[in-house]
Amino acid sequence: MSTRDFDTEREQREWEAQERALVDERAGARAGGDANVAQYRLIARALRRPQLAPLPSDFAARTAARAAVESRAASERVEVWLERGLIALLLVAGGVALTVFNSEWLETLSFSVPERAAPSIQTLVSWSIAVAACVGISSAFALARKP
Amino acid sequence: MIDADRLLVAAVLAGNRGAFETLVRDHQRLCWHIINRMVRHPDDTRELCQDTFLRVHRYLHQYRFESALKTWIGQVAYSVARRHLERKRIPLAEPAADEDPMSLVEQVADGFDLEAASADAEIGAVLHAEIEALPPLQRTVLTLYHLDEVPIPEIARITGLAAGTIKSHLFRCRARLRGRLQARIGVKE
Repeated sequence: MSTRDFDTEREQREWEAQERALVDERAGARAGGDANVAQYRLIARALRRPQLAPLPSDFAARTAARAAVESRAASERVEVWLERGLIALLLVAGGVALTVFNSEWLETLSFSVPERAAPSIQTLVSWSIAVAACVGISSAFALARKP
Repeated sequence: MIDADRLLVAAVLAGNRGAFETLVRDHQRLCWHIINRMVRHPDDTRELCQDTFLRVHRYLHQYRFESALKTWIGQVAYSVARRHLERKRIPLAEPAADEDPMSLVEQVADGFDLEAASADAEIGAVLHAEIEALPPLQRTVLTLYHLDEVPIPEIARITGLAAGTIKSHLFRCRARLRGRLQARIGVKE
């Protein structure tokens, strides 16, 4: 700070005394004869030894562990959302297919129901087989994903 | 320094084992000082300091090396601590006083025994009490400048204030502390 920084000579001299004290204190220089600088050195010394709460010795390790957990949780969240998106897409595709093929495929599932049974029973059985198949496939996937 | 920053940031972003812990270890001291000087409470300091590094971890891919990594982390720490104070409605700095700091200080021509004054526990306690009584911003600026040896332009970047404002805070606070010191010495004599 060699350039003039303050409006008055007195302020400028005071600033220079402050800065000189800071430099001398950092360098551990012997105390000189300037009492103004010496007083600022005392202040600089106190400022270099503030009353701070101690930093825990395991702070870095704990913080890094927490960041790793957070990072894993974030990627798992993305995975869950992708999975949900995929399921929604499959449901929409299924609905579209159902509409396009006019429920003909359901009739093919009613093979175990006698032909004389009421149509509502036949539909119920067909849907039950379809739902059971879905649950079975989902459970198989869930089992396969388990470590 | 920027080269070292680049290597470390690349290692963290690549997920290299231990890289983030190294980053925390390299910069935890500065982060701790900023937050502790701002909020003072030890539990809040620990929580906010950890929050700072979690943010750093989350947004490191956005760091563009426009300033040293140390300065960027200092900015995050300062903004986390500032938001905490705002939530608690604690003023960051005292309003600009009309008081002329030079009116508190008397020039002395005679000798001043630095080592004797330094060994005087009472004087030390008074100075520390005065430092603690400063508003959070001033306390932080003084610590960054004196303890962490951060230059004024970097303190300006960390706090988002003009370099002239930082300089003015330093000047006024140190003059005020000297005024209090002189008052104490005067009482003793």
